[in-house]
Amino acid sequence: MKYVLFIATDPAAEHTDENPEAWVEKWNGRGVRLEGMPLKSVAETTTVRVRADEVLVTDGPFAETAEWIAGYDLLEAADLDEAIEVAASHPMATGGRVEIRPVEPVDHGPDTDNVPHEGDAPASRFLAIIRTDPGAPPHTPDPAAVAEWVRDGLASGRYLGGEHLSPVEDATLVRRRGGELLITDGGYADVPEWVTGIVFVDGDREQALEYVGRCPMARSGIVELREFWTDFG
Amino acid sequence: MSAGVGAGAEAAGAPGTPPGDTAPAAVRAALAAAHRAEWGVVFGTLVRLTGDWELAEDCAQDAFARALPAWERDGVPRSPGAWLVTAARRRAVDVLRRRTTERDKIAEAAALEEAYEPAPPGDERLRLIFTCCHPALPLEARVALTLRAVGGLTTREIARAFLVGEDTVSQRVLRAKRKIAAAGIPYRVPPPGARAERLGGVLAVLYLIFTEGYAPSDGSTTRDGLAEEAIRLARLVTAETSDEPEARGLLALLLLQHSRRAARLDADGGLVTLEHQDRSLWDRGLIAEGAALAHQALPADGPYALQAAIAAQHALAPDAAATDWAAITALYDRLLALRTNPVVALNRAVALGMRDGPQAQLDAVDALGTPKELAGHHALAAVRADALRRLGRTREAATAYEEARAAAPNRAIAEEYARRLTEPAPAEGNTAR
Repeated sequence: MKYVLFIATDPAAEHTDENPEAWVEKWNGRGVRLEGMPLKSVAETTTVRVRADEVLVTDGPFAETAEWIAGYDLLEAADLDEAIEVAASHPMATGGRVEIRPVEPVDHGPDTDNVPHEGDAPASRFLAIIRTDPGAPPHTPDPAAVAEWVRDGLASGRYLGGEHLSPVEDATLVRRRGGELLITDGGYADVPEWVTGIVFVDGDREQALEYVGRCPMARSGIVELREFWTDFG
Repeated sequence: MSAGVGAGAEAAGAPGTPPGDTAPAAVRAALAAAHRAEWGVVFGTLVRLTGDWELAEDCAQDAFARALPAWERDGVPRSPGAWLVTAARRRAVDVLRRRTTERDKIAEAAALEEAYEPAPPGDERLRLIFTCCHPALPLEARVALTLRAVGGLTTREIARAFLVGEDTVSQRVLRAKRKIAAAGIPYRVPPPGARAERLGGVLAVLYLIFTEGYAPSDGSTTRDGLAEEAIRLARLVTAETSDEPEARGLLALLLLQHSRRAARLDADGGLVTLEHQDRSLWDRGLIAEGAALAHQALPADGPYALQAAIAAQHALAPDAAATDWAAITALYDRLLALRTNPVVALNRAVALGMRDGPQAQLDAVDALGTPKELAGHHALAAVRADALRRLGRTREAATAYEEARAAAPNRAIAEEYARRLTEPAPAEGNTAR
């Protein structure tokens, strides 16, 4: 099964200086971790919503929470217990919190698979985090419109791939506190705007904004554009 | 709660129900007994074979429904469990065949028919209970699913036991089954590295089921059926985890607490504290079994075993005054050494007060301060009040009792404090040794 891990901060967590290099090496070596990337500060988020055909762009995350997503990883694990083992061994299980989300496969039609790539993550600059908007009327985007948006993005080079997640009820939160492993039902933060999917977007910020401004999910949900942390000195 | 089923189980356990007997009452009794004993095994086997919890429940239900007419016609089979598993498996094959014509589903059905290896019933139950108590499931879903899948209670029975709507229970069970499938929660006993930790989660669910029956959170009087179900499940777990002293410790604790059920409430439903209970009402059989298990489990120093050992000290004492308070205080010290816990520390203060007198109790309570776990908790004020009353500081005691009464979580406890409030200060030496 495929899982997305959201590596999140937690101001109440314990301090750790350990970096995740050994963790990455271990789980890549076992073929469980497929890819993953850290994200730049949440302060640099651009939020996009489309309401009544108007594209609303705001600076900063949609909701100010103490916990925020600092990175993602994609796993191919045997089952939830293996995903928990991977999450529990991440330094941020101690220094933050790790949310495990099962991936729900979506077929956008022929030739719409994620763009093959070498290395840790798609060669994109942005991660578009798609969330539900509890304030907007419930609305399921038309799969045909989504497929068209994907195909269009593949043609223009904006879209490099994405993952649709099963509902937040299926999320599992993993933390280590005082040496004790805590496994609980739920997401990384108790917010009504839960994450429904992620999309890898290439281009500069303006191009990325233009592309996610046409995203069918932005019409009923919230899209947060987060820049990958690619400049490792 | 499952009165009909439970009564049937006992009747069927009696001799004189030979296999092949088709008298309707005997068949019904045999079926009820099989339901108690085999539901979890049938359900678990089908989960293992199909990986589909919805289908597994449907097939288990269908097998039990078919059993009555079949057993009336052909007699009660020699091995009701094996008969039920076979019937449920046949149903699964039928459903999978009918559901779709996809090739893999047909292959799945064929595999179900041919390559079936029965597993020992204990293994099947253990896999099922570990999966139902997986920590990634919400707690209330773990409780509901454990009672439904392992215990065989209907959603109506669970709803009645927890005084919630049937829809609420159905939703919890459904949500648990959905998450097991969607999140990929494996159906298995956790590997050795994770087993002890996960067992702790299983035992916590069983203890929660027991306490809901023993001291209902809504304040109604006890519901013995739920407590007995928790004991039955704890027996199943203990039987399959002989190398885990904490499972024994929990079973011991449940048996010892349950042994006092007849003495805990007075005729008006008021709570009777341990020292005032009529000890002739205590169940000596349960005490003997619980004390023996506690004794076996104690060397491992686990929290359930220590609590059980404390309960055993109370259970074996002829009266409150003759209780070995020094031993109990020492056990509380061991419990506190495992983990600081203000509630345990408060109980230790009571034991200390019985050992060394009310001033020691008051000093110990005051030394606790007001930890956040006990802030506004009725027991903190009540233990203080008891010490003050025994010291003859009546006015201070009255204030503390009033505080405890106002914070009491249910009527029985509030009435107990109101009663103690009016109780005269005892002559010294009356309560202590």
